Amino acid sequence: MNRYLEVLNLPLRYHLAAGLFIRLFLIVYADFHDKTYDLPYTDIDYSVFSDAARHVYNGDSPYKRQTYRYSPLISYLLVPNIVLGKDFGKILFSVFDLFITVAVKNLVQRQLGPKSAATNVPMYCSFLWLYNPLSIGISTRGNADSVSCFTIILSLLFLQTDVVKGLKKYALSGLFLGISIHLRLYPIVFSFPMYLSLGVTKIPRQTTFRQGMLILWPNISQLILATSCLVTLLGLTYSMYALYGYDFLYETYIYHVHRTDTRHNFSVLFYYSYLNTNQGLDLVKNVTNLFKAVILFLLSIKYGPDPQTLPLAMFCQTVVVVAFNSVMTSQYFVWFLSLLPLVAHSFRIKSSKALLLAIIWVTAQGAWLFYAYLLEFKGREVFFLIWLKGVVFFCSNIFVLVQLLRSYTVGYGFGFGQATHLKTQ
Amino acid sequence: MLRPFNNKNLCFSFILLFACFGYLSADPCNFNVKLKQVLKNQGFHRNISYGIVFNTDDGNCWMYKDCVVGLDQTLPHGVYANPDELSTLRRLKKLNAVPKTRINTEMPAEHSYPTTTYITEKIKDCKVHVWLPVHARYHLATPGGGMARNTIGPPKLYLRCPDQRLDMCNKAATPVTFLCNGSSKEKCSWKELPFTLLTDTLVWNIPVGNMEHYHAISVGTALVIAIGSLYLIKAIHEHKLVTMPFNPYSSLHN
Repeated sequence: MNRYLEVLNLPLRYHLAAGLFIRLFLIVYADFHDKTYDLPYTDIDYSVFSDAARHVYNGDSPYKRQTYRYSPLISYLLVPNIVLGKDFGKILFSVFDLFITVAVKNLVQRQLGPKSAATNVPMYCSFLWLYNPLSIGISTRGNADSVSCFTIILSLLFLQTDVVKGLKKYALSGLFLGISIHLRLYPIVFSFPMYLSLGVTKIPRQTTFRQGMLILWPNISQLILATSCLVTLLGLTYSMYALYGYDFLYETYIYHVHRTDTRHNFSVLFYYSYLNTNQGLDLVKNVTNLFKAVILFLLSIKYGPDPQTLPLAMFCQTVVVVAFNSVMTSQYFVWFLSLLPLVAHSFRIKSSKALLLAIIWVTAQGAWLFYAYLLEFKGREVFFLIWLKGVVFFCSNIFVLVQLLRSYTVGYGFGFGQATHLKTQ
Repeated sequence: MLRPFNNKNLCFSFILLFACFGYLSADPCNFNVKLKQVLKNQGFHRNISYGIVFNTDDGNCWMYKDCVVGLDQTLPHGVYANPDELSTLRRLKKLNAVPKTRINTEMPAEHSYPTTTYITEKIKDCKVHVWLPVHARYHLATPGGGMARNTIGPPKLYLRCPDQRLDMCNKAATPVTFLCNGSSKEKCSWKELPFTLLTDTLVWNIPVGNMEHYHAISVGTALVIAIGSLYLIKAIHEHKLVTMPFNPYSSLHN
């Protein structure tokens, strides 16, 4: 046990090396696996990125690649895939994982205050990303989500720490928020709570509409954050539009707004969307979007204004965006898993209960995957069962989120407020 | 004086004579081609495997030296070959296949059209073995659900040889012109060959949703989302935030 703790408490650089080694090993293994088995390890999106990068390298539009629905920036990042080697992108995404780990450690250190330096709590939090099987899998399979996750964390890092001092930090925070919205759209929901976190620290329940409007009136830091975010977002969007025209707007943004993917996915709405094809009115989806909007707003005004609970607002919002989305794939899970390390230390929860919640979430996912396998790879007609598992997974997402929310205690720090947990120097 | 007849020379002369006779008598137009077309794996992602054998009876394999077979496979609207996947396979030199028509990989079957893919492969030892990765599209749900049937017919078979040896065959038929291979836009003249299909027409059954579930699924989905949302809203509303200053020295001070 002591040996285990010694390893756990090694300086972060050793863990970064270990995290990188695991990822590099899996990247090498992926080559072997893909040549050997019918079901490839590498995600289909990786070949989409690589093909788009090849088009860019040849002076064409990345949107010449069917199903490329990302910012051209991702295809630019992956041009070395064509020049240097096909695994470059996976290595790059893995390096972004390491950047996230370092950023998370710094953020948690700031959240818990200078006393946290006496413990390893910030480092343990960063392990939740570094050693997370999902984040490892996503990057080594070739998904680019670690890039947008990093820009989100960086935006929060500049907003909530003094890595950069003065008003410049709000400009940098807005810049990275703008980039993350450009890359992945969903971080747009963070803009409201982030904006609120720079104003009054609490919005009382009795607040009238007029008072609410006054609260929203920007101070200088809010103005800088919003302007920087908008300028970055519009600047990038305009530049890409100038280069690739409507193809860019449609594939990167418009498609995602009205996307109705009738093929099986984790979403509770999957079977309904499939049966509803060609039915016209989409009442259930409209109701879902209404509930989603209300919950996102409530999370923003309840947890946004207090900088201490801003990461909680962002974490919960991401879970809601993913759980209520009409399309959900496993790569979306890293959206909230990248924010989990920023809030995990504040969950005042018994380890047995935390384990139970993790089992509920993973088992619900596993059950869905089993039936999806029967459909996709065995051709079995199990749509109704997939829907049932989708319902179970939706319920497990909501249940786990509520349990985590109820246990949230600012400054809890995994319960390491004990001198016995002081870091041994 | 005549030298005694050498047995070795005699044998060699006979072999040469028979070989010449064989060469002259072998009908290059009697192709006698047999084709096996098999659908492998299960589910939505499968491979069509083609086994082609030329003139197995007389063994005149030299006739097909450096010749290339071209398959023209039409896929029904419920099945497609992914053009990007084919492009990757071409680049890796694993398969020389190219789509003839534009293929939208995301459309459901009912909004799609049949598509055609060309596959080319060199003949080796009178035989060719090629495969084509194919994927099933989702079909619109039907009352009662069950399976949607996709029938994949046999391909058209073409032959192209580097010299003029096919020119004498079937002069009435107009040679077909299409891509020489998947790697360039150069076009070549191909001769269509008759063949004997040794396997049945391929049938691929795809699961489809059951429209009779529509109302139950709509109400069920809406209810689950509404209850889940209200549960979450209630939790947010009732949540009392607790703040506990982080102090790892607390027990030392107490």
